[in-house]
Amino acid sequence: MRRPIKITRRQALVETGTPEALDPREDTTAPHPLKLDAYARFDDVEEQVSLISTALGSPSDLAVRRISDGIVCLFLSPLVDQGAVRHSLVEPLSRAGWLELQEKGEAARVLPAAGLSEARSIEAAVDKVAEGEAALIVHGRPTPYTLDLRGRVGRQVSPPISEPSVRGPRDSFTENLFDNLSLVRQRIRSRDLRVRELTVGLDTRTRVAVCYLEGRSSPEVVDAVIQRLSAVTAAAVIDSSYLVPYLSKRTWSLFPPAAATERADRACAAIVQGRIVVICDNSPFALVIPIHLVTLFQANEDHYNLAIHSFLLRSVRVIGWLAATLAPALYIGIASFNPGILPAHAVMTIASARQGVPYPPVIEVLIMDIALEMLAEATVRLPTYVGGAATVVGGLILGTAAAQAKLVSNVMIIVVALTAIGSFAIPDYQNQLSWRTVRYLFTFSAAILGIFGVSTAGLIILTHTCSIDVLGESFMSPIAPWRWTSMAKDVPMRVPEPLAVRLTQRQREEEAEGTADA
Amino acid sequence: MREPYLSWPEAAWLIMQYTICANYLFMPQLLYSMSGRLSWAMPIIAMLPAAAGVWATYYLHTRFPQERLGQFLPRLIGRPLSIVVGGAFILFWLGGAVTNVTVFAHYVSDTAMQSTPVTALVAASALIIVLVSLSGLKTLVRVTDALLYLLAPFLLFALFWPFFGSRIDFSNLAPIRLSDLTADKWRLAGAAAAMYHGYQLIFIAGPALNPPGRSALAAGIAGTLAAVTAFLSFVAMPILAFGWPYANLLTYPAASFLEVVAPRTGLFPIRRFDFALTVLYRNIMIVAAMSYFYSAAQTVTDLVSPSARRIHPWFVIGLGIAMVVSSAAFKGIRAVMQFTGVWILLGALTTTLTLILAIVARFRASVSGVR
Repeated sequence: MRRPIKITRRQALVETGTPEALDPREDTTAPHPLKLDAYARFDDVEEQVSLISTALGSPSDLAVRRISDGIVCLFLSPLVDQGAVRHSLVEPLSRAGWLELQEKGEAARVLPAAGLSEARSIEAAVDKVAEGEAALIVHGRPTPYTLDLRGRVGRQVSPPISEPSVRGPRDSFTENLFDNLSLVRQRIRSRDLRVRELTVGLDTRTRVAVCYLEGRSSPEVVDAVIQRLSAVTAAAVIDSSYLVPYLSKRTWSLFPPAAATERADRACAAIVQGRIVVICDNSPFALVIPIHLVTLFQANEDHYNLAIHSFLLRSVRVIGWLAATLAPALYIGIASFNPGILPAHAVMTIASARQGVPYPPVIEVLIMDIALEMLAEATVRLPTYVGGAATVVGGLILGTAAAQAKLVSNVMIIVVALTAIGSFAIPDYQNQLSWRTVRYLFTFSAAILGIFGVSTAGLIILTHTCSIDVLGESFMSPIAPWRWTSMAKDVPMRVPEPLAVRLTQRQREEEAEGTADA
Repeated sequence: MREPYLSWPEAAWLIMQYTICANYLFMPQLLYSMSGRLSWAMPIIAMLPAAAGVWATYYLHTRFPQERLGQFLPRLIGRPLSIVVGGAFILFWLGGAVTNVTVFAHYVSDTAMQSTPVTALVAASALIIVLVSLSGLKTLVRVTDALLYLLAPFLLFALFWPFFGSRIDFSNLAPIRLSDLTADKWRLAGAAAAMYHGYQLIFIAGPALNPPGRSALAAGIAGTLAAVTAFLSFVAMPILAFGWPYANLLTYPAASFLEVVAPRTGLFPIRRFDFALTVLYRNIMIVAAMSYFYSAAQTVTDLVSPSARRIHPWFVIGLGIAMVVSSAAFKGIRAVMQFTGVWILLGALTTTLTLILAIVARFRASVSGVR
């Protein structure tokens, strides 16, 4: 029976005598399973097995395979591909002895398919095992080999759930970083495509890939993104959304500094346009940075339809956005303060609809707005087959009943329906949430100052959006500052491709000359 | 090295709005009281002092391309004088912010929001002004840029729509009596000198111009010329529509004109189209008030603490509160209009000072703005 080893940090220091091994972020007095000097080495196989096992807390899913005398393999069973272990490791090693594995070159010859590398130290080997690699301990070698035999539970590439489209590719990102990178590589086969991998999260050690096109993306922006991601201090990075606050200096902004997308085609289009895409392991959502407000209203489908059709759809989206943001506020402004701006018969219709409603318009709006938010939230949480029923109950029955009971007016039901439909016409979910929040600012401003309040709130939001800089680029570009070529190319309408190519060339020339803002 | 982010068309658009400000609410009435029916000629006559002002600002900018007014004044005319001259500009700019916001609040309170106190309307505008000033000049420029898409179509509409109506009668402009212009010639000269003062923005935004130098001249000329069209419309249109002396009887002639000529049809979804125009003109007023306010705050900061990298937030908030309080001191629109008369004279003084500064800079060639 093996003697369990429990090495505290202090003991480790005494053994190695290197205070540099201390991590300044950690409490030096707390016991720690293993924190050895990076260059500590052990010749004894069992000692190495014991140290790695102890460092990992002797977990029940740690597999220790004694393949032959002097050859032991360790790995965390859930993280490795058992088939690969059998074919790439056990079978070749069963025909070899520990003496053949002393030199790395020879070992690589014996294990050709295992992605073999040499760990710098036991400490490094422990980290590799924790990340899912296998450690191969060979008698007579001071440190283990590590082998990449990772296999993981994952879903297949499937159609996007949050960004469906009628036309266009059906594949979307999954939780597997390599799958996601292969989706990108399949679409962009340029030799200029760069992928920089980082590890973030002190505990989760999540792999993050920064993808961009050399010569198309601004080197300063690329450096800034890598620098900011390298400075992530969070203990856990569970999803790509955890990285978003680190990409912008403004923590309390109403708008996201990066767009999240699960569509591989959208991510690739962004890379080709010179943006940077950050793909995070275990997250099906890639981050696109920097973004502009107008891009949040563009759908990839715009590029799959005819230019004129795209223009129509974009216009509908903008009308939907205006309705979603302003309809309740305008209702309050007109019904409470400025009925004179509408024709007399329209005012009479609103007034007669409101007859018998016991609340002022702002309370009416708030009741229905909150009901709408609850409905939207419930629909997201409910299983798909119940969600439809909830929408019918909430939208039709509750709304009609509230109007019949004179708790709200019929006009209010129309306003809320417009708000809901308009809100769902906004393509980006984060963008939807931002504007849903902004709607309340408009509502309260209208309740205080009527249409004048709506105008005030509009200017406040405009000021806020104009003050946002994402990695040196204006969030409101190309609207403010004016960039006419970009505007002409893809803002009110997506121009047909041959013209777009010419405009893109012109845009690059302008950027090279530094006159893009004019 | 400062970041050059302001192109000349953007600067011109900003200068135009800075010049127009809330003038459509108070300028026609002021000019009618000074020069009667021939007031419509004033926006044309005022182009002469404007040309001199544009040149002077351009010259000062070329001498001090990387500096704002508060930074180059002490080196050009010495510290004591710079406080006096800078103080005059600061007073004019702060007065401009207060005047614009207050006149507009009174107008809105008289027309669309009769039950809302003027102070509440002023406070709402002051909030936006303070927010923009806290964000800096770049945000101000971007806000102005973004408003182009909203304002330009409506400005064009307001300028040209009346010609399609039947109320315009060009015979109302006659007879032309030059004696109208000499009745109150000194005040009129002051008004002419102060009328197009938008080019003063180069004193603050100059270091951000891309490229510096000729951009200032191009922006000054284009911005001022665009404002001439607007001013001509504000002053002449009420006379064309209502005739003389009826136009002079109105408190807000240009606003009343917009209300009268607004499209009227049973199918049109907005009955009070003038109300929509008011909201849009409010955006122009806000841009101007923001620019005045920011210019004043920046110049005070530059004069008091030349090494300060940015305006202190509490100073901006304090100035914003002072703006609301001073606005509340005006009892009624008449008091505001009287102050507007004084403010226009202050504007004439700053135009004169701008010319003098340029002449001084011409003769003090040893003083250079290149640091």
